[in-house]
Amino acid sequence: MSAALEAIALTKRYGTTPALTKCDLRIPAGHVVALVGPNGAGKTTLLHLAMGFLNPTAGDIKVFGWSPQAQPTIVLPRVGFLAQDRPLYRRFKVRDLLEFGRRLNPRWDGELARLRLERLAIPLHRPVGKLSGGQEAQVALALTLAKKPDMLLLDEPLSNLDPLARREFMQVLMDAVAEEGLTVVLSSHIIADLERTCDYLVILAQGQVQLAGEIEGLLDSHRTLVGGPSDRALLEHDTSVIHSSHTPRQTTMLVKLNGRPAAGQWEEHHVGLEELVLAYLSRPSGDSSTKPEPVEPAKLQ
Amino acid sequence: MIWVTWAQHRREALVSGIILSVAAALLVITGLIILADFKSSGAANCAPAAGPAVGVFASGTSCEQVLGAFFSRWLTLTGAAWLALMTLPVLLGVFIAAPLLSREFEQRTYLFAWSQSITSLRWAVVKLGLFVAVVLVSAAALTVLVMWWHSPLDLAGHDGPWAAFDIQGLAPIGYAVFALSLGTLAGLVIRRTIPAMALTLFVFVAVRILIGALVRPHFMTAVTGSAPDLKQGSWVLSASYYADAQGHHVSLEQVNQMVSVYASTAPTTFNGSAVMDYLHRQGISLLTDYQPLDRFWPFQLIEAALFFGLAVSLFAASLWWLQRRA
Repeated sequence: MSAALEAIALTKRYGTTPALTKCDLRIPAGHVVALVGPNGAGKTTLLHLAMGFLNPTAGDIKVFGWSPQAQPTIVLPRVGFLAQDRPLYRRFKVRDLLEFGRRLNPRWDGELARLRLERLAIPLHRPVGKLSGGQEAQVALALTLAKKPDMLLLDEPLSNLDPLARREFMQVLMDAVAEEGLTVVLSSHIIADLERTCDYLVILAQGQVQLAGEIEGLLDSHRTLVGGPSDRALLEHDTSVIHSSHTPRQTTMLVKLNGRPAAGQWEEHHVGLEELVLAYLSRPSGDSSTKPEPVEPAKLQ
Repeated sequence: MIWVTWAQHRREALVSGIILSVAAALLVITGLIILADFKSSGAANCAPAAGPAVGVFASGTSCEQVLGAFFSRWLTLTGAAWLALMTLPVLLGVFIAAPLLSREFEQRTYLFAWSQSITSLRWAVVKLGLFVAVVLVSAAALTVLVMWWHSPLDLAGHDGPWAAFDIQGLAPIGYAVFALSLGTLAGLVIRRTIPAMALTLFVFVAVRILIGALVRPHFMTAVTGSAPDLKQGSWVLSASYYADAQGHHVSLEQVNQMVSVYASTAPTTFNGSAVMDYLHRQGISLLTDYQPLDRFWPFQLIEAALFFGLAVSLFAASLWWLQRRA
């Protein structure tokens, strides 16, 4: 079975500025994926490449096995995309946007979108620009879902929303996922937004995938070890040590277990998702010895 | 996509529709008044298609006076109308074409449009195609009206239709499409509305002036003819000048010298025509370079082809830029 989203040595440069550098990634269908990374890590570039808005500089990107650049008419109807800040035509009434979607999408389910919006008490006759931020986000989400996509790509969908609006947005999203079995990729630089809803993690930093896999498995295969002071240089050369912090009396490090148990003199703790992400993001840049593990197409296929 | 384009741009369509309707109404009203004056003042009877000879030395016949008076009566109005009509393509380029795509990028709504099940290329082609169609039809309709409006003045003025070259015939349609293509490309490449508008304004005006002033007079090699015998409806390119039988320029000092020699030798009849006759016998004639009336339409064709050609290249450049997806 082909992956929902697959990148093979994917490279994108804007002029001479690299955004993605030989990025390899394979996201199986059916997951709710957290795509995390600092600002400028290449998250938006990756999603825009997946929608065919951009051409790769080198390498390949595939959506359900198809190229978004070469076969846009196959890919576009199958993928719902919500761009950062959820841009909509603000002069349009909600009703007009539904008409907009109906006319440009073959798989359109306007009735479903209308019901969703009515349930949220969003007036269809009102121009989008006059809705609250949360309502606007709901309209954008409803339009994206009405496309009946097999995969949703959401670029920072919760940015600039208040906590209540965030919760409502995620609620509607997760209901739809449960009903329709969508693959969802949510990009964010705030991991707390995604912790409860995602079951798959992709960490992107400096234009490369640092870590990818099912969250449960990733948490199982990492540990925090706490012990007495130790040789810093030695730890920095150990590829299984993702991150370490030192005080005169104590060393704390996050390690990848690689199937073997941790050494005896260390106090062992389970790691949380946020801890894991932060450890990978704070790794020194350009460290090629810690290439991402998940690129094992043979195993996944 | 047609509905989508309409829904998105109905405000522009409405404003343009109002402007064009007002312009058309003004043209019809003033056109009827001009036509009535053309007939009642007797100018109509004086202006057969060939026109009387209007020369430097020609004595003022009554018909000439009637035509001249008619023409100058409407000079202010025609000047104002000329300016307004010349401005229309500029407005189209700056206020409609330049924001057309740049606003989508500025407000990032292109991401919403491209997230539907339609490729960005089709999105652009349909959108631009509709704009081109509407602009072609409106520009053609307005130009036909302007030609009717200006027809009495074509018959009365020295330059004939050349005086209104930029607002009648095929050229204005070319200007409009060029303005549209230029604004679109500027908006697509710059992606910001105000700079795109400024660039469109600058380039459009520069290209129009460049072609109008420097290139157009040389679309075809100018005809050199006797200045006094110039036909009505000729587009005079140069001030009249003296030349000898071989066609070499003769300076005014040389001519003055010859005239003073003549004055001292044969002073019996010393008037303008006698002097001209004398100069003629010496092989000197008063010449001017001009484009004759029957070249008006070939020139219109060339000018229009030039601007349509530019427009097609700029549209092609826009689509190429779009599918580059850099």
